[in-house]
Amino acid sequence: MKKTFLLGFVFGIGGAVWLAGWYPFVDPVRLPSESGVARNGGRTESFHVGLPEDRIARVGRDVDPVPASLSLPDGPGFDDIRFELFRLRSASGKIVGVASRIRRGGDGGYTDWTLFLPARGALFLGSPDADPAPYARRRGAAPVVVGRVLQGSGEFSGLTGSFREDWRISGRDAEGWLAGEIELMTVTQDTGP
Amino acid sequence: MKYLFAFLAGVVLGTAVVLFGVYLNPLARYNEGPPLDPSTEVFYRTVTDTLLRASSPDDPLASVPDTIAGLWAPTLASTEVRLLALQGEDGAASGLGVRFATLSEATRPLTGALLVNSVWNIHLNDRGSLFVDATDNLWPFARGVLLPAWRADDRRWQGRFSDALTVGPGAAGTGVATGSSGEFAGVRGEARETLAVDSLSLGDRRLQALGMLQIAAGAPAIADRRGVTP
Repeated sequence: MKKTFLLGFVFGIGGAVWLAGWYPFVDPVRLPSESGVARNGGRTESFHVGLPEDRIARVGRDVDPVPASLSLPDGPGFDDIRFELFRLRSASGKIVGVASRIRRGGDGGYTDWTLFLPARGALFLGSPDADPAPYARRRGAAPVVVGRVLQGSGEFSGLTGSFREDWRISGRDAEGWLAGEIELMTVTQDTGP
Repeated sequence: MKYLFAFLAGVVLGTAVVLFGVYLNPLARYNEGPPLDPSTEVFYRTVTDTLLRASSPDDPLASVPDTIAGLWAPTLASTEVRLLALQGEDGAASGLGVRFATLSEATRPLTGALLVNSVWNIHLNDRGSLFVDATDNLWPFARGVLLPAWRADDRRWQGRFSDALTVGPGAAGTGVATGSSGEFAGVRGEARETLAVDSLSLGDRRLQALGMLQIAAGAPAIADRRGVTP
């Protein structure tokens, strides 16, 4: 019986070491990448935001906040800034992450996007464009924002390139919210971390 | 039957020995790294400076505001987003920070690695914006704050715990900063986040802490993006 106890003891140690050292406690749901190949090399991948259903939050001095109790700090430094948070979808419409869009107006204005895909990593997009009313662009007009893919993390580490942001607004829903979608088209190449 | 009980008793004891060893592992007590020479330091208080916090429904901390939609999709499990009001060294409001975080697949309790992939987008008034990519290790926090709070009768921990969160992905245990606009345009550098915790209440789902993000911005490493035609 002593040998049986020792055998169990060794099994217990081995099993616990395996669990603590190799068992995948964190196993995020990973959907296949829907990237393509660009004609001049590199990879393309588009991401989409459905409006209004994918908007999680929005705040700025010039817009009604979502949720209504959300507000920015007092002070002139926050007068020209608008923050938006969205669920992010792949080209086929599956939710793959969350994305923030921060636009600062005025002199030296800019727009930054952070695309955060938990199972894959993040893409950092920056542009000197800061259109205060991207939803007002007519269908078929020039892209609202063009800029650079500055860097990435995880699976996107070492990728740089360019991106284009298009708002395709079809009208307003029954509650008065803008209805349509935002498309972010990225073209990236691996330039090393 | 007695042999089966003996075997199971051995398994339980062996498992307990390993778990005890993992918990007491003296090599995983703090996240230590070489000092950083920061060019920018920003601070936030988790209670008063969190403008927004959205997370998956099973998260132990509360959403802010409580009416915000949760991150309910399966692909967003164990993920949180925070919008923080940032303060400078003088305590004045200096900008906004958006912080994304999710548990990392590289988590391995055996080596004291409870890893989180985190990403910052920081906007400093009159200065510009930048991104930070970091790997955080929450093991010292879990061992020093979360587990004691979980074991307490009132599910509350109060005291003083301070440690660096950032352990990578840079070789020196720092995060990677990438400038986007203003004075940070084209800049690469290092970053490190630290957290000084005062209390954690699992009942109220509330963490009271002071966070600090240090950024050591280096020389411009990429071309000015304003000239790029996508």
